[in-house]
Amino acid sequence: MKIRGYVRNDGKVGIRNHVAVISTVHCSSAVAEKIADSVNAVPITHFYGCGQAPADQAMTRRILLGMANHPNVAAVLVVGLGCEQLSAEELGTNVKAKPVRWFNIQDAGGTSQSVQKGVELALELIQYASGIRRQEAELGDLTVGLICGGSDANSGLAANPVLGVATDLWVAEGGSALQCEIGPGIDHIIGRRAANEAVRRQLYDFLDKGWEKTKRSGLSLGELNPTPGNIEGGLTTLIEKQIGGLMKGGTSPVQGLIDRGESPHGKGLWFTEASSGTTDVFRVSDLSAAGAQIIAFTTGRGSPVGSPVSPVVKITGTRNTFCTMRDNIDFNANGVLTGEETLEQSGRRLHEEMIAVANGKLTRNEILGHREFALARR
Amino acid sequence: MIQRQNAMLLNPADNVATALEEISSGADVVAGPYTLVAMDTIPLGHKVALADIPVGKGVIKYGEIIGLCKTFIAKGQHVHRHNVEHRVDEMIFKLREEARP
Repeated sequence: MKIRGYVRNDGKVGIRNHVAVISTVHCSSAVAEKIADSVNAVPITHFYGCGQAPADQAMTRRILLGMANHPNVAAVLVVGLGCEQLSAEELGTNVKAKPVRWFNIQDAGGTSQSVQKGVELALELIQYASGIRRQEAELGDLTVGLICGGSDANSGLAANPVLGVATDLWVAEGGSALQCEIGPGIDHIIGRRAANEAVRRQLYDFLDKGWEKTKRSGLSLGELNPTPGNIEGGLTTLIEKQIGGLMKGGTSPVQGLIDRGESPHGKGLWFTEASSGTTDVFRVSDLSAAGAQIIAFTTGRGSPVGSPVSPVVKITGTRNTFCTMRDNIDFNANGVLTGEETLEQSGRRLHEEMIAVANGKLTRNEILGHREFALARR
Repeated sequence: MIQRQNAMLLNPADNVATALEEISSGADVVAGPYTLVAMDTIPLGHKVALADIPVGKGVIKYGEIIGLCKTFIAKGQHVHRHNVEHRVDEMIFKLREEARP
């Protein structure tokens, strides 16, 4: 299927055309935000970038570079302090296939002069970006990130199964999908879904870590889950609870498991280690950093969370949430519960909505300026 | 008269449906192509059996076995911890060794 996107110099396809202002370190974040606000660029700021253990430092570097090299980003301005662990030069020289500028606050001579310098640089980048036009591209060049947050009983009944249908359609068009929140308890179902024996073993090794973690607490996972609240809500077994979340990925074979912030190695459905043990902002950020041009986010209670670079399509199966959190919800999947739509019909309608977003239709998080970002740590 | 759906069938292979509202004992359960009478009161979000499920057989939701029946479940009955074995760890480990891509 054809879409209209921004084709970058390396052939990657973006569906937005942002200029990103990235801070290397917490100390340069305020200046980066002032610059971004002055010129309507997107700020990507955080609490880290210095004094980190090597593993955390490597993660900071990967996630920030993932954001900078994101296909939805047309150009990048990196704002450093000057004495931090992850230098502006280190980040800037690793941004590929797009214009990038960088400078340090200590070299520019403090806040005022840094903001002035940054605004001048960002102006040029924004003018450059504004000259890029959408052109014909393939849906198959896009990756959708799959996440759920603020789940309720309808997440597993409506929103996730509907997204699963849409994900199957996306993958059938040749696109990639990246699913998070993979955990133990449905190992056999995940194992059957593996594309081959090597992937099955890789997935089991990952799931084993989850089993061992619970075992150390002296209890079996099947006794800890579902929780008393889940049981009161009607969930009977661990398997039942876990399948509800897995549904959002549809039925495609799993091509492999990749690390947080790592991009899929090819087409099809991939799992990422980005886990549910973090806030939704971390997982959305991980999916963005992995290069997901669009994120599909199922929610029961409703969530305002967005991303600086990727439009986030919010899907709920709960009618009340669609009404009370209308500002923040893009898609109502409640019709599958009332019988107004089948899962297949609702999934097709969601697929069409995702294509519209790929072609430029704004999501509610974009309109409202929700650009949350958080850096993962090991 | 076409009755409004009050329970969700997720997969054609399922032998349970999930109540979308509290269904009183004796009331009709309507889930996809199924219409049956509730033998128990089914709370919102809880499961109702669409067919008899013998002891040792799988309770199927999402087209997957979510647990094994531990006391006979009749069509229309409430399906939960009292009649489904919830300790599934061993079953998962057995099944996962048999699972093939």
